[in-house]
Amino acid sequence: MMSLLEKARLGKPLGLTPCIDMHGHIGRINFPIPDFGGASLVRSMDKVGIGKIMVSHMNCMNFDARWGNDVVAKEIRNYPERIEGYISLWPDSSKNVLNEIKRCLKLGFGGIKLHTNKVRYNDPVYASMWETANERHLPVLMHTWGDEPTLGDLRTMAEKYPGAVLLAGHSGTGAEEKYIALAKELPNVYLELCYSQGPRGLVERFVQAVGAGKIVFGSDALFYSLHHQVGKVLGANIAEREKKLILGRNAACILAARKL
Amino acid sequence: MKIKLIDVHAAFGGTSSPKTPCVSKKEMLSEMKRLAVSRVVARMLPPNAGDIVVANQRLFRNCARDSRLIPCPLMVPAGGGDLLPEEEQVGRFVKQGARMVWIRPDQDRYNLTEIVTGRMFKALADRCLPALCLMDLIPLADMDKLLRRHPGLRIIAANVGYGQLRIVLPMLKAYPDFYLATGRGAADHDFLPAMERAGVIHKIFFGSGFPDAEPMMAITQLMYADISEGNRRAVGAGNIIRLLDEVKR
Repeated sequence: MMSLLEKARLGKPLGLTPCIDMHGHIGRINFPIPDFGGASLVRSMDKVGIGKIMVSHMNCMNFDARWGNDVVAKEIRNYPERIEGYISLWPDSSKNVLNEIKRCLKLGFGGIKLHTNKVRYNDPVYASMWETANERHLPVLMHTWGDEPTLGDLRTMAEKYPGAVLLAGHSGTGAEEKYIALAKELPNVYLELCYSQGPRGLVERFVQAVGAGKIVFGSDALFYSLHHQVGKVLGANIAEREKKLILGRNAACILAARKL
Repeated sequence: MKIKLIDVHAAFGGTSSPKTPCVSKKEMLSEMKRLAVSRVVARMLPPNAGDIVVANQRLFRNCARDSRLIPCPLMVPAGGGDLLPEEEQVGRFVKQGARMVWIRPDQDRYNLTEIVTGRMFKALADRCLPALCLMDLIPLADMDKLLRRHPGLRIIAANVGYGQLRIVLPMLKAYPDFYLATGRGAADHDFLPAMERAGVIHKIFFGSGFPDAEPMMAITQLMYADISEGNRRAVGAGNIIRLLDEVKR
């Protein structure tokens, strides 16, 4: 039977179920992405055999977050089995945060994407978001970049809201030891892998330190190339079983545990 | 059937930190074998503030009699009086099997002005010997000026960085001898299809960024790209074979 590495080397779909990308985006950003819609994303996924992707709009980083959520909602309807939505929030008030979460959950969104919009993750404006994530066991994908106070705030919120599932986005972008400590010490924290530079050996080090069960694959498509990012897992010197955990089984467990 | 891969952006040898082990030639070749990469245009990383002449000598010794390796020595302009004249450097490199050089101006304490590098780039252009430039070390704006001054100079840019298509695509279209390595940096969504649509995919070469980057990423970037099989083979090996065969020996 062909290994995942061999299939990838031949450019064949992986034939893996589940195969889930936990960090995606659609929409236009301030650098050129020729085709930034759901169709382009799904075509990209089909080449590899990725069954599902969780996406937020590129506007997760600015005040057009609500408009971006509407665009994502449309793509969820277009590709109901393939694209799921992370709710993006522009945290200008507690009331607006709560209202947007309620609105988007009704639209079929299944997680929350937080970006460091000059508001710390432990800011009281996010309290209703954290309570919702805690009650419903939602994944919260948090932009991190190896720095403080972001990682410290992630730890604080993970401890305070044990029912929420915190995905440390871009794990390994500096301060590897801090990411490892977070995943080792906190049962509800997972390491998410997207990083354009793809340092050699990072996946192996993470697997060795925290176990493949605490890592999820994310590509940051359409920012980055999904085809480029998936290579770091497929090429890693880890067991086939560990690749399958990272490429979908862990994510499937996270998604199955939600109360939607 | 596996397509042939020749890696234009890979290195072994030095490290900048005692905490990071040196990557040996054996380790690099073992990894390339594991991923079915057939040949490497190999750089050898000199130690920081180290002897670049000795580093190049080590490179040629390591590459000698190993058909998997094409040496890519480090080139430095001779205006400081400490190195052989540029024409002689280039002649010796080619005689010892080099089909590409690489440059790193800041680290080797020079700039890209004409007075400093004019003779070096002319020597390279006269031999059609390409120069690999890591674009996290050389701004694209400087590269543009260089390409205007030396129309025959062949430059292969690596580590371009994602989100650079507004700059890189016009440069690829405008400058016949400006080329790009894939992998680390040129990692935009649908990068290769964009190159195919723009009619410049013949100027793109497979490059992994080993040992800094996980090499399989550049492979999956190529193998899953929505491009023709002919162009996939060209990027994998055909494009670089064509360029390296044009080096005047």
